[in-house]
Amino acid sequence: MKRLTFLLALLWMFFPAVVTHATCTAEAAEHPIHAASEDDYPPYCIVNERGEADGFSVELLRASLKAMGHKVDFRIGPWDQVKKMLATGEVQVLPLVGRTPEREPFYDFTFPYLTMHGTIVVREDETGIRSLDDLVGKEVAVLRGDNAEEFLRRIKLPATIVTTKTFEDALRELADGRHDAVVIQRLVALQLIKKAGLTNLRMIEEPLKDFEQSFCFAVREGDKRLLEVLNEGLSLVIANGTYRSLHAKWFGPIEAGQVRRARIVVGGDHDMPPYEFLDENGEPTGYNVELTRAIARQLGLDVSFRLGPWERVRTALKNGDIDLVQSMFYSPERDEEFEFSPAHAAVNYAVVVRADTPMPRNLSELTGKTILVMEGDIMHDVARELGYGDRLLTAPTQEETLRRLAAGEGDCALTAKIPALYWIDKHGWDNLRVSDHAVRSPEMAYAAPNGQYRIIALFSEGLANLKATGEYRTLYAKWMGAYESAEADFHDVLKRFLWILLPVLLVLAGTLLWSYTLRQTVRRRTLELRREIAERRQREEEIHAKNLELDEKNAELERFTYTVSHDLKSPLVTLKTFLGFLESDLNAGDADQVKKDLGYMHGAADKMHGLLSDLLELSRVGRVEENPETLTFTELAETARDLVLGAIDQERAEVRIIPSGLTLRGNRARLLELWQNLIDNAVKYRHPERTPKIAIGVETTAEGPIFFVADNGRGIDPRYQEKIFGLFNQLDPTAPGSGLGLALVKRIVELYKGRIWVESAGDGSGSRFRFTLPEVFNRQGEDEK
Amino acid sequence: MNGEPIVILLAEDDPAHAEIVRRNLQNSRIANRLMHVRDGQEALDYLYRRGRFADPNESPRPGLFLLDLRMPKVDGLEVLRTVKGDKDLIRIPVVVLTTSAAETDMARAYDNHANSYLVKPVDFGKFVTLMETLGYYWLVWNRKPYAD
Repeated sequence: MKRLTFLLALLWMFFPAVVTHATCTAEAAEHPIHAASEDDYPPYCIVNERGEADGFSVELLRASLKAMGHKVDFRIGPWDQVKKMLATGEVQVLPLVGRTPEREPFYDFTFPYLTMHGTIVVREDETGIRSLDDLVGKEVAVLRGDNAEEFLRRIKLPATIVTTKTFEDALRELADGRHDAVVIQRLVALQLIKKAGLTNLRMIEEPLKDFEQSFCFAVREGDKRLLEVLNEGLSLVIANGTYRSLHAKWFGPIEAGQVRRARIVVGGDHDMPPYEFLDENGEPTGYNVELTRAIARQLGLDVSFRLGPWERVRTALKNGDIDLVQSMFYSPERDEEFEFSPAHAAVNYAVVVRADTPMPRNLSELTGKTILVMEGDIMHDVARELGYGDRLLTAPTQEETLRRLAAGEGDCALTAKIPALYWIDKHGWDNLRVSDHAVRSPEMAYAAPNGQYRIIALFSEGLANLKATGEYRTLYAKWMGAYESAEADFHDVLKRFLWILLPVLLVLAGTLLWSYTLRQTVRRRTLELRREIAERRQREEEIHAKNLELDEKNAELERFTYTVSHDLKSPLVTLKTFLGFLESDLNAGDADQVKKDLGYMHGAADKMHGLLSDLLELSRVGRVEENPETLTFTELAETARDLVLGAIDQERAEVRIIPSGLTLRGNRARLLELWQNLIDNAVKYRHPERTPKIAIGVETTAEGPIFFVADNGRGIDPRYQEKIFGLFNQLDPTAPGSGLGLALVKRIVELYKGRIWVESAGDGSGSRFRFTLPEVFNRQGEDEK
Repeated sequence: MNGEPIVILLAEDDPAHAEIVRRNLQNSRIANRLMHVRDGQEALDYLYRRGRFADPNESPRPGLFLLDLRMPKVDGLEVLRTVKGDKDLIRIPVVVLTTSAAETDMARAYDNHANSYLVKPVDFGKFVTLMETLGYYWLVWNRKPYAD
């Protein structure tokens, strides 16, 4: 969370600076920014002898705005008034607001410039209150509307909460014997207690870790423009050192006053790289050492280091030869003995074995093994706790444990992982293996003997400040960066360049999204188009089929008009012409010739009648069929035969109907006409010398039923077998009929989606008409409905 | 007129129409010999001297071929195509005599080198005049393609 804040700070530093800086500076001079400061929140916000707002936060706000080219003026008042001033718009910014969830809706916060822990203040003689839990049922005083009050209400502490106008009031009242405790920010308490000379109060030793206050500048919710200016200014004063000097100015003296002005002696291990060790010149160095120096520098302390074998350092701490240790691992047991600061590093401990022995997966698998540990190390405690006490080998340093393991002593060693890797590499102990997993990850912290809480508080605050300013992160990265996994490095790089990457990624994501939606649209359109094309193609095919049908109809119509113009005209010509002849023959009195003329005229008139009735018949076929019926083949054939019975009797023809159970569904009259015409033809075109024999039946084939009407008549020359089905194509002009019969038959067959053809070897060999009628079977189902 | 009577081949499926032609030619004063065939197949048999026309005396070369278009078996157009596609028969003047005034028929006839296209008039007088004129034109004025 804090890293992210730091990152945001970086973002604000570089990103909007270009835009806002130029625009804001011009108008800034004429219009100072109004701020409101509390009157009694030392050392953050106070009123100096001249009656002006002063303090760390006030000066920090002034410096931050100055860096951005703005002036600022301050109004002064107690917290609830100051709060109101911002709400009403009387002022634009407050220099000191602890960021809490409760306040988020009302303020916009800059990134925090200081993170502090709270504490509980009790009377000197109070023994029952050592932690937050001990406040249950007690009366707790806090500043009205302060973070402390919000915190207590947030955790729903079952205690009586009394609010006061100032913290000084709360503390005075506590000193006077009212209330049981005051929850307050630690540094403020120190300052106020000293100022008010309240000698009977003390702070509990354990800092309230949950009551962490992140101090920020705050503007009214939504005032993004001023927020940007403040964030940018804050980043600038942190970067240019102003922050540090202000901090030293306001916090240094107070804290210094709390501890001996003498040099602080800091102890640590002399052989635990990269945390703490002695370099080639015997000078202390490492992460812990630099961290301590940074804290000292920030708080204006004078420190010296004493690094040595761990057990000796520990003894020196107990004896008071050194003031604090910078690298004590926290454990509940040790907590009884020492004061701890918050952790500044977590150290992974690993199992080290010789290459020829199996790697234990966890500490419980160490049963029966001889274990090497450093004397007084956290692992020494752990191993004893686990009951391995009688199989322990101790050495003064972790390096020594590994040296002995490498030499064949013991079965395994428990050491800090990073130092182990360092030593193994340095000494070339190729026969040692370090476990990938950590068996313990104790937290490293500053520690002092019990009762020395002040020095621990000092270093805790220093640590918090380093974390707030980002210096801690830089230090950690400098020493641990090389040992952290590649993933961590990547994260580091990623975070550092996030302010570049983020907009690029956003643009990229936007582009991808856009391209995705575009692709979707294209795909959808393509689909639509494809569907449209398919539909169009289908329509075209339908149109094509219709056109073919039309062409056929047109051809038929042409044939029809041709027929009418030729064949119908033909008897008319005959009639008219013979009328002319008749006239002259009558004049000439040629009775024979007159008779002949009249004969031709009769013939022509009959022919015309036949043609006209056939045409009429033909025009009926193909119209919408009405009243379909279900008929059996046998019944149909017999009825058709009976209709031609006159001609059959006259020619003495023998008609044989081959029975079949087949049923047909169609128009009765139309189907009768079909068979009637074929039977009639068979009789009509009989062989002059043979008794006409006609067979009517149906064959079942793979393609379905095929009907036939066969005769032993004249036969049809193969050359003319196609032609006979045309309109008015009569092979024999002398035969009765109009030449329409087979055209009609063909039409009926086609009406039922069938086809008709004739099989005949030619002259005198008889004919067999065959045809299919698929549609009469397709319609069968309709009958059952 | 002198010499042999002119042979006229008439291909006509309608006996009444054949009778009309026969009577008109009879009434004209032109000596002729009318050979009547009832369909396209018979016409080709005559020209190629097949079947009952095998004897050349029975099938003399016509000086004029009157051809109906619509006939059973082989229709007039087919006969025309055959005649005009045969170098021995190509010179025979073919006059199409039909009831059809359809443009398509006319076009097809001329495309197949018909020498003339006549439509049978419904009016009696006109029919008589047509036949008279036809006789004079083709049988008198027109030079016959064959020496014999």
